[in-house]
Amino acid sequence: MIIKIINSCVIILFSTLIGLELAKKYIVRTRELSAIQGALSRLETEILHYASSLPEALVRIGKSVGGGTGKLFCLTGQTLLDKKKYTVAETWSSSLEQLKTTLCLEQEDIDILKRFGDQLGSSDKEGQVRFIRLTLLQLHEEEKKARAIREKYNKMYQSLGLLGGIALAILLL
Amino acid sequence: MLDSLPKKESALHWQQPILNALPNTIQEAIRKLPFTIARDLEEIRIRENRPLMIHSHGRDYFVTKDGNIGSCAEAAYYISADDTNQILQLVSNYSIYAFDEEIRNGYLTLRGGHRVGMAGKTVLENGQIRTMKYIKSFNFRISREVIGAADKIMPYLFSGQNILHTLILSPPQMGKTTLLRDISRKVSDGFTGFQGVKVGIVDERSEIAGCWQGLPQKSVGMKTDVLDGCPKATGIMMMIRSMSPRVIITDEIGRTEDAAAIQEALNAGICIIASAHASDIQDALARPFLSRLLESRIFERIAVLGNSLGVGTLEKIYTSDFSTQLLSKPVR
Repeated sequence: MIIKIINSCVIILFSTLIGLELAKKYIVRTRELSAIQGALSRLETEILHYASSLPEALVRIGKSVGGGTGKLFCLTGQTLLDKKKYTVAETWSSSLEQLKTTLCLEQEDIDILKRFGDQLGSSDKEGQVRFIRLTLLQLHEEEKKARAIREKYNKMYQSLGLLGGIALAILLL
Repeated sequence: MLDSLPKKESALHWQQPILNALPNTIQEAIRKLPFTIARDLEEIRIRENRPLMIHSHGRDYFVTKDGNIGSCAEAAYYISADDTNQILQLVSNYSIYAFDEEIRNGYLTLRGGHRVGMAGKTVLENGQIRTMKYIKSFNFRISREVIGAADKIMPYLFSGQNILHTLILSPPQMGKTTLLRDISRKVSDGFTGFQGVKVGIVDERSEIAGCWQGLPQKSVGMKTDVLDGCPKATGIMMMIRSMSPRVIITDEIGRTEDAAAIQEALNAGICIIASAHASDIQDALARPFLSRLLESRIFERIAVLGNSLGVGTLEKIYTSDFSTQLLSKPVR
């Protein structure tokens, strides 16, 4: 009997954890989306007011932002600084691919960021600012959507984990 | 052999900043160029969809992928769209937005003072160039300083301890910037019998001092201040007010406002050493601006460069009334 109770407890515990893990994806996504927006605003300032060179600006921002976004900026900036002679677009998109899972981003977020990377560093100041603003707008929309989804699924996965665990435990008893 | 190694390196020390700005394929080709060609390399020409070319020893060569040179265009390496795209990113350190002004002017300066000229489609706004897009042609100009280039001319630029107002006339690519730079170094550092004075260089096209991020990449002298990228007329005024130079050096004067600035410098007791495009004194007298300047007898020495004994030959030196010639024959 005691073994059965312990078994049930373990099942409930794990299914709750799985539920939390599934829900976490939504939390991380919204968090990264807002972090990226913050980082892009800072990049806009660096470009517009300080005319800093892109690799240095990326590393500087990346270090202070931290998290998955920080990694994305640092990795891109560092690769460019290492002078391996890839274009910015190539470097940015390969960093995105590498960090896709860490960032918990959806394909549509990645697509927005990739389109942004294609233009990064490759036009005059005005052009850069325009692209950053456009990207910010799109990311903001995505963040809104992500929040709505989070509201919906976050609770659902959490309770689903717990309830599913209990149901399984009862069935097995 | 041991002797020749360091020499070889110093002859090729221009390479690194330029190779860093080239895509790997082109970089390999340039790195494998024969030594004598690389040593005297003047230009690397890059034009999309056309063969890679260099200019050395006064003539053009096609370059193959393996750095072989020849006059056959078919065997040469053809520049791809990826190449030009990458070069633009590399020369600007991935930050084209930080070079708006340079791109508008059509060139930028690399570390080491080398110039990269660019051509593409200009975008106009109210008749002014706003920016340039589709940049498909690059001209990497290797800049070398020739320490001692001014040795021959120096005795003629002095009257006792006083430096004379000097104008250097020269056709393009005859070494007038090199000469100005070495004059600057000499006047600034001094030499036996001359102490050296404060020099101000107004370097509108970043050619004399080859500044990179504000630092002169060439030796222009210990007592030399450089105003980089500044329009000449404004720059001369700024120098007079802020840096109290004894000598102002600038190149390629030719606009009306330059004359007023030069006059201002003269009034402040500052000596002017400048250059202008002209193949000879007759040529200069035929130009409205230069003839007015020459006829005002401001310049006490007028030196003419040419290539009768090779690039940088000092052909003639005139006094202010350009009737008397101080050189009996060209020197180099």
